[in-house]
Amino acid sequence: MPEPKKRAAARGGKAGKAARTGSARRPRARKSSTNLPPLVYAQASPHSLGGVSLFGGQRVTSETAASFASEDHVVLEAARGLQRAGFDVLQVTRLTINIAGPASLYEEVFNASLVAEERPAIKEQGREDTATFVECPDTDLPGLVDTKNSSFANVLEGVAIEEPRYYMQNAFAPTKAYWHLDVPAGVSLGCNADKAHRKGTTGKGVKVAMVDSGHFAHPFFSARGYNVAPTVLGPGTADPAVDADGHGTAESANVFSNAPDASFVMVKMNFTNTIGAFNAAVGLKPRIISCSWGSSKPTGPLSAADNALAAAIASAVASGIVVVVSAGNGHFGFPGQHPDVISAGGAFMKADGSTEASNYSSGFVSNIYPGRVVPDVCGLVGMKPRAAYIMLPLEAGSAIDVGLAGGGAHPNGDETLPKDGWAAISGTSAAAPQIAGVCALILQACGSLKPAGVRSILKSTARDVTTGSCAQGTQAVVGADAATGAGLIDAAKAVALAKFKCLVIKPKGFDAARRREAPSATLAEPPLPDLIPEVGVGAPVAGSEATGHGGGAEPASAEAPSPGSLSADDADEIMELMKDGGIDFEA
Amino acid sequence: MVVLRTPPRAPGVELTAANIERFAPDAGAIESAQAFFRERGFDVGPVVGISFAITAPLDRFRATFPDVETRQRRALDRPDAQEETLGLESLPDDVARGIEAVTFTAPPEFGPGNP
Repeated sequence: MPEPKKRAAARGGKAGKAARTGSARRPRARKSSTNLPPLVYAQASPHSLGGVSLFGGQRVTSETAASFASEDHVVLEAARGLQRAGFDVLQVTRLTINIAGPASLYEEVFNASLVAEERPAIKEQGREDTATFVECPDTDLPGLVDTKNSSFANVLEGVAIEEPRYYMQNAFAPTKAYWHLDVPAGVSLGCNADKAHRKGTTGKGVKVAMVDSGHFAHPFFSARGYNVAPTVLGPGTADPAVDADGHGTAESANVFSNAPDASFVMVKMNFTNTIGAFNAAVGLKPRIISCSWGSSKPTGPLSAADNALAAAIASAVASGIVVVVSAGNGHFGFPGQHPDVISAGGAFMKADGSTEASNYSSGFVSNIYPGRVVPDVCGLVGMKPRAAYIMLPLEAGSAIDVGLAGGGAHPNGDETLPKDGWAAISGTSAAAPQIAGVCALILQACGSLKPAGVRSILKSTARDVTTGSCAQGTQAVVGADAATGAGLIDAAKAVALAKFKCLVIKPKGFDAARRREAPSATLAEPPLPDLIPEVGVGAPVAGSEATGHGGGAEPASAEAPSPGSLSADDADEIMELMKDGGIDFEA
Repeated sequence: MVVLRTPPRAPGVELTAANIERFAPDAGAIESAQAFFRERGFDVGPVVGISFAITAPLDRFRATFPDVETRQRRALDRPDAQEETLGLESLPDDVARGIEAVTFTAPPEFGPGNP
């Protein structure tokens, strides 16, 4: 190992370097040779055609770039030499050769020394932090390794060490010409949640857990002030701030579209330990768990692991937790077909507001659970080939961000940039969190409902989807069917019905002061104007369902309209449902 | 996942919220199984339903289940088959008696990577 050279220090190089990087006023935190990353990435520059080094201080622009390119035989010789020396050669262009190797290899091959420096850095969302920069103190130019004293002197003019860079993500989605929905507005409107929000039901105080690939702090969430708790690590996971896949972050935006004030927590799952992550979510005691994943199980018997998952879901639901699971994207989804879950299918909403069954989403009759029709209800889902339909935020450069961008023109790709932090996706992965969001509204309106009662409300109030067919080919028809279940969720109607189910109704002239002595409240027959609605959350009436889980919703603030009280509009919705025979008091 | 033994179910009876209490594993079996894995250095998750998760580096699995790698390889070779379960022969009798299976969950077929 060569002795570190101190030319730079002798020439006052450090000061010069600091001035050039603009970091002279920033304190340099630490310098260490032990904190070097295991792999150091760099761009090696073969000698330029024009005779001027890329690192000579001249500006490189589109007009001058050609003169910094190199002759092919020089590039080839340099790349082969670097490979022989032990570097991984990742990419070769006429301008630079992208290499990777341990710091010790650079030191040995280029007769240089490398150190790690912790420098102040501005990360995502303007977050001030520090980042590890690899530096060569032998040269004046930041990050430059001189090759003059190495066997590469005749082919390389220098090696530039890569610097950490951070994505500058945007809270605004990119605009695209093809028909798609955005969040929160498009999804909220499509699920008819806006009207519920206007009346004060926003999911406030209702805890929704999602079990998925993780959650990245995208500005979409912070800019809107959504309530996102720190990610909980499921067994066998790490890096709570990272969502390398992008799926969890993206799908969570669907929850907030329908329930903007819900309290959200992500449980990051290891894909080979999904049950462990689900169990961790149960341990958080949420009111709702949303799962946008599953496997295809067209027939039984269930495996040991499937039985364990079935039991975990059954146990969660028995304890009062609403579990929403995707039906599948052409799969016979499990646990989406478990009888205790709210099974999420897909309906496609066109630009004119009409709907049809999504041919990307599953719909089937279970062979494992007799009589179980999947799905129960639908969220908004796109069509084949890729259901590129809802523009969702995710970690820039994550697998989905890059994957959809690489698909070409819509509908095969989403026409976004590969590292812009946005992707147009959907599938029943999107439907489940949309439905979970509406469940949060329902539970804010009537915290005493059991999971079966929540599902009953969703089904009673869903908008029938009567055209199109699901991925399995089943046709949507008038009434409930195995393509779309009861139809597309209707948040405003569901909330109105939930409020109605939670009302304590008393005859006119009832003395509130003597309420304890009064006989049990019972539902009276309509018309509603003759009834005096009183208390909402936590006061079940005959036919509604109390739960041992406790009221999940925090009391609404004094300024907000009480979610438990019926407005004239709510009463209209109820009357309409009664007229349609849509209210099932025995649910 | 450690799947615990439950009272026998008639064919076709699946676990649901309506019957899960009837098929709850024995409390003593839960305790001894969790204590066993904890003592062997595993991270032990909570029991939800009839199972709990165990997490540990491979060498700890190897020490407790000598066949872990063979079984894992077999599962990878046959992705369509039911998942492999680990042999319980190496577990003490009183612990093994309360366990139905120790198994790995296969990655989901839809969701992350296939929304």
